[in-house]
Amino acid sequence: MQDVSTPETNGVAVGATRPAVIEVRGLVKRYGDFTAVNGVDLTVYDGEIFGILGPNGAGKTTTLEMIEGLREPDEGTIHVAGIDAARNPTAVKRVIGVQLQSTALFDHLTVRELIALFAALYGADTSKAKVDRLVELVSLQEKANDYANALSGGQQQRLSIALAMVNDPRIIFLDEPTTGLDPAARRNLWDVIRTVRAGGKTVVLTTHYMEEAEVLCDRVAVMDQGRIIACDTPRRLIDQLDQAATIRARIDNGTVPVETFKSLPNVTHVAVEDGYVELHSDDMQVTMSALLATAREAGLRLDNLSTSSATLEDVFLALTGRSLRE
Amino acid sequence: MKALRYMVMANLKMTVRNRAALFWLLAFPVIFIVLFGFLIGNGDFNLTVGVVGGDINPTVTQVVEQMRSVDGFSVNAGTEAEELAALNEGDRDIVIVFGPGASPEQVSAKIYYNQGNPQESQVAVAAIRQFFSEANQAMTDAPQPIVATVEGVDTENVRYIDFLVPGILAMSIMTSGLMGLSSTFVSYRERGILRRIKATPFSLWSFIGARIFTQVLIAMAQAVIVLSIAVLLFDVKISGDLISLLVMIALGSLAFLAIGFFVSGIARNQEVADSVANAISFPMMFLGGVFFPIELAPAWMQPITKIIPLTYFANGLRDIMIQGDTLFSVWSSALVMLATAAVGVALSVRFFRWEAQAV
Repeated sequence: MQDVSTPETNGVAVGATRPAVIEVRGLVKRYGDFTAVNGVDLTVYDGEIFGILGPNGAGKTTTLEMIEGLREPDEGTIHVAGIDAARNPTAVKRVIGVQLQSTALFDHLTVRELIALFAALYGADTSKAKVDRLVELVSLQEKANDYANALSGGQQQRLSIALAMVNDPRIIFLDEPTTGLDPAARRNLWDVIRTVRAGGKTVVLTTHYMEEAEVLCDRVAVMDQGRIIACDTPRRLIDQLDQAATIRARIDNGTVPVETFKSLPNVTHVAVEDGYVELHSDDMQVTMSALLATAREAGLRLDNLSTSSATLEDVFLALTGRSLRE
Repeated sequence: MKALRYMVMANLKMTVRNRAALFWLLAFPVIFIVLFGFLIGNGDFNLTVGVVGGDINPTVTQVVEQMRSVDGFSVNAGTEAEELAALNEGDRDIVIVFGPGASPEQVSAKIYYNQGNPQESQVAVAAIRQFFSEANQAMTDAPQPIVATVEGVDTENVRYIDFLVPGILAMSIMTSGLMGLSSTFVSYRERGILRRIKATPFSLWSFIGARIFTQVLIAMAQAVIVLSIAVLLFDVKISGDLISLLVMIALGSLAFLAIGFFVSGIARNQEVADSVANAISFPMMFLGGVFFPIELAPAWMQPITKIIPLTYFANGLRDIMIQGDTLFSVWSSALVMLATAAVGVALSVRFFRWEAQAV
C-alpha cells in the first residue's frame, strides 16, 4: 500500500499533512477454508472520503465490519481514532457512525422517532433541534413524520446516514450506500455524503460502482479476492494506465470473430455483447485506426462509434485481468 | 437509563401501532372468553348432586350441609345403587360416595360424573373437590378428614366462566410471550436489525432487557384489559389481591418470554420460529388446563399436564382470582414460573445469534 503525499483530489486536499484516523495492518479474516480478507493494510486520513472499490465478494464488507467492531479479525491490528479496536470495541463504536449494507429498521416508527431512538442508544443528544438538524441534513423534512418502512429505497438510505450521524461521529462508514438506487437517487446521496464530509467528518465507503469511486472519493482502495491491489486518488490510479481508453461500436452487418478484435494493435481486452463490441486499448489512436481499417476491409458498418478515456474500471481490468462487473 | 427508556418507549409504540400484534394481544383472548362465555352459558351452575354415605362422620355431614346451603347445588341422598342409577339416567350431574379412608381419621370420596356431558361435569367435579378442600382448610387443627386435591374453583358460585377466564388469560400471555419474542427476534436477526444494534454502544443485554421489560408491561396491560372485559360482560369476580395477580402475570410472562427467546435462538428463520412456537404452545393450550381441569384429562395424560409450565401458570392465576389466594399461597406456581424463566434464559444465552448465518 502506498501512502499519498500531495494528491490531487475531488475537492479537499488530503495527504500526509492530515493525521491518519484509521490504521489497519495485516488484517486477515477466514471462514473455514475460505480467506475472505487476506492481509489488508489501510490508512485513512482525517476528513477524506475514502472508497473501497471491488466486485462482490472481494472482502469489502468484511473489512469494513472488522473496523466497525462487528466482526473479530483473525489476524492484524486496527486503530480507529487512536483506539485499539480489538481491546476497546465499545469505545470505537462511540466515535464512529455506521450504515450497514441492509437498511432494515424497526417497523412502525417514524423517521424522527428512529433518529431520537438511535441518539438515545448512543447516549447522545435527543433534542428536537438535533433531530431536526439531522432530518434536514439528509433532506427528509417532508417525510419526517412518516414510518421508515414507507420510505423509498433512496430515502431509507438517507435515513440510515442520518442514523449514522446521531452521535456526531468522527468517522462514518457506509457499506454500499447506493446499491440498488436509481441514478437520480444515487446522485442525491452523493450530495448528502459530500455535505457530511464538509461538516468535518471522515467518510469510508464501499462500492462496486467505479463511477461512484471516481467522482465521490478522494482516495480509492481497489480490492479483489481479499487483498488491496492498489490505493491512491482516482486520478493517479487512472494515470498509471498511460493512455488507456475504451472504444465502443455497434456492428450492424455481419459478425466478426472476437479474435479479429483481439489481434488489433494495443488492445488489452475485448467484450462482445448485444451486437456491441468494446475494446480496451492502451493506445487509443493506434487501435482506432487499425479498427477502422479492419472494418473497411471486411465491409463492416460501425455504428454509434464512441470512445472514452480510462476509468477505474480499466484500472481494475489492468490489475486483475477481469472486469469489475464479471 | 435514557437509552433503556427510549428503547422501551419505542417497543411500546411499535406494539401499539402493529394491528396484527394488537389482535393477538386483545381481540384473541376476548373473543375466546365471549365465545365460550355465551356458548357454555354464563349463568350459575345448577348441579344435581347425589350423596352416598353422607352421615359417615360429622365432618362429612357438615360438608353436605354446606353444599345444600349453596345456590346452584341441589343435594339428594340415597344408596349407592339408587344414586348411580339416577346418574345413568341423567338425573344427577355428579354422585359422591363417601367411605372409610386409608387411615381411621380419613374419609375417602369417590366422585362419579356424567360422561355424556363432560364439560359441565368436569367443572362440577372441580367444584366438589374444592368443597372438600375448603372443608379441610376450615378445620386446620384437625387431621384432614377428606382426602381430596385442591382445585381452584370457587365454591360459592361455581361458574365455568370463572374457571375459564384465568385459563384464557394464561393462554394469551403465553402466546404473546412465546410468539412475540421468538418472531420478533428472528425477524430482527433476518433483517439485520440486531446487527445494527450491535454497531451501537447499546449492549445486547440492555436491548434484550428492554424488550422483555416491554413485553411484561404489555402482558400486564393485556391482563387488565381482558379482565376488565370479563368483569363487565360476565361479572367475573377477582377474589385475590391485584398485586398478587399482577406479579403472577409478570412471572408467567417472563417464563414464556424466556422460552420464546430460546426459540428465536434455535430457529433458522421466521417460519421455523413460528412453527416451533406453535408446536410448543398448542399442546400447552390443550394440556395446560385452560379449558377444563387437568384432573379430568385421561390418566395417561396426567404426567404430561404436570410438566407443562402453562398448567402451573393457569392454576396460579385461578387460585388467586377464584380462591383469593395470595402470591405466597401459590408459591409453587410462582416458583415454576421463575424456574422456567431461568432455564429459558440460560438456554437462550447459549443459543443466541446476532446474524442469520455465518458468512
